[in-house]
Amino acid sequence: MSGDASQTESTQRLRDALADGRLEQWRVPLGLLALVVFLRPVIGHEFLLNYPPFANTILVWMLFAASFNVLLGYTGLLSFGHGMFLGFGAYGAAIGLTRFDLPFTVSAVIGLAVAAVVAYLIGRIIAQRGEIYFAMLTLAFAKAAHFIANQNYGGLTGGSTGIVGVLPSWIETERGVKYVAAGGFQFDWYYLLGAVFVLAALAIWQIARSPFGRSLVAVRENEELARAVGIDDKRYKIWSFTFSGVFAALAGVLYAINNQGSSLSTLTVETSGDIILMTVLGGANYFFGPLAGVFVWLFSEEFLIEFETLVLPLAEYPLVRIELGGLLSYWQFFLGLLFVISVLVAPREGLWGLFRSGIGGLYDRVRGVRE
Amino acid sequence: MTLLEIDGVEAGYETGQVLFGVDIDVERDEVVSLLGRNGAGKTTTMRAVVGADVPNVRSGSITFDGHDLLATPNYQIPRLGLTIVPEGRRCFEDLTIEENIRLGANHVDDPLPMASVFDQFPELDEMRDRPARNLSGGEKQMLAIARSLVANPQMILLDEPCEGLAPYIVRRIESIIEEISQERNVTVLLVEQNVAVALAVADRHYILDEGRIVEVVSTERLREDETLRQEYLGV
Repeated sequence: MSGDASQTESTQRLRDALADGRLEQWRVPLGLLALVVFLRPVIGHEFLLNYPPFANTILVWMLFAASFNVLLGYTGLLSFGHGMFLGFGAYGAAIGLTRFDLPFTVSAVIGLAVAAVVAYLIGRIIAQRGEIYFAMLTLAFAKAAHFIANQNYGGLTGGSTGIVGVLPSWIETERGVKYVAAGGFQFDWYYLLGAVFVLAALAIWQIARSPFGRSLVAVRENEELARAVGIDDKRYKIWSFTFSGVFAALAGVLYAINNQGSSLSTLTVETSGDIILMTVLGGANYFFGPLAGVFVWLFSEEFLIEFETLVLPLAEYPLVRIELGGLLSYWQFFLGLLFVISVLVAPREGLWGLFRSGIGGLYDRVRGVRE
Repeated sequence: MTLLEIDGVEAGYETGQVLFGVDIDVERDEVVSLLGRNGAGKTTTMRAVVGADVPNVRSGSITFDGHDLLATPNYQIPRLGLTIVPEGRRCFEDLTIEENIRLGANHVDDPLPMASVFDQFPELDEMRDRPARNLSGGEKQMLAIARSLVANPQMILLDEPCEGLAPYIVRRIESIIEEISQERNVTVLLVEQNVAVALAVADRHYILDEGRIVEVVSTERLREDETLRQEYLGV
């Protein structure tokens, strides 16, 4: 009897929560958890990539994109050099570990601290420059970082080969699959990566919805009006740049484990450019937008390139065979086209915005408020 | 006691000078209007007071409650107790009503409680989670006023708050200005083209023409002197 009563009560609470939007605050945490839980089995399924460890790479890039979106999506600042901070994290961890024999966590923290200090200083210098100058200056700083790493001063950065074959003592590899081995436990590296990813992404989300994050949105929308309500826009831009840099460096630390070291490619203009494309393709207006952009980009890159023959309806029952190898090797062209279309149609909405409005429209039709 | 003192302000844009020595004094607890035709320099005067990027103030002084506003970074002006409701009822469109108002409260030292502001604007209270983008013109204007009021200012500058709004909303805004002035003891400087609004709410009227103050008149005189209204305001 009491069981029935409490069940009725909880159903009522759920209804109330749905009605006044209290569930809304769980949307992002639950979404992130679902992402981490489902990404690996989906990616690893034999119909798709059949290679579960690729989910690791996707998560690292998703965190990188989420950090970048603090700057682009929330503050409205376009950086062409964000790969620099990914590099600081990756190189910081790898240099501390190999050149100074520091424990991995200490090296990682040093990497994050360096990223924070550099981001703050660069932010102070460039935050108040106009959009185009801001973009060019970030590019210039990233080029400088790339040059320095490539020069291999004092044998620190390993030049063009980077620092390879580096792993913390508590990570073991077996035929390309990484395991965390600590205190008698052994589990797949993906779960530690997933936990760090969820925590970091939640921190970014919390920053975005805090009064600080709302002030960033105000600065993005209208700097003059933001100043008129008392926001010191320069200070907010500097801190946005700093937070964004630190989270990118955290993605860099994860990258260093995932790729067993740091490569010069993290510091290249291509990396910085890719993250812009992924973020905008996914939709800079939304928290999940850049994550969706990363997924579509990396999945297409891996999936389409391998995908030479389309067999319908199933590989086991071939009724129709279509040769796609020639066409799909141009996957970047198609993604580029998709990018151009999404920017022309709705520059801040992206694929995630399209997805949301599609779902919303469907829901309205089911409810009967729209035809 | 003079709260805002604008003294001999000359200001302009790259394209040319707009203000040629504007003098305005606003006493504490007054409601003062600044009237003038399009292009007379009303908005330029407002922007000079709140330290907007343009216009450049070339000479003169602007003092608020003893503080030299021309030497104060513009984002610190709300902390001194002076807020603005800019023309065009500008809000942060991607933020909700509540977030917009909270922004006004977050960047000053002694804001009003949110509840007290929502009490005054029940139409906003009903939809506080709605993005400002979805509001009507009148609702956006209420929101802009609420955002500047929550900072608990000594004085509010209102730049053409009734422009392009339906008559019943204009009356609502008039009554809000009266409430702000009488119940909350906030001094108001109102920029208007609409003489009827100025007559309804303000005690004194400055008339601006071609970048100069040409008359300072009482409400009675403005109401009765048709020649004056014809000459400078075209009504």
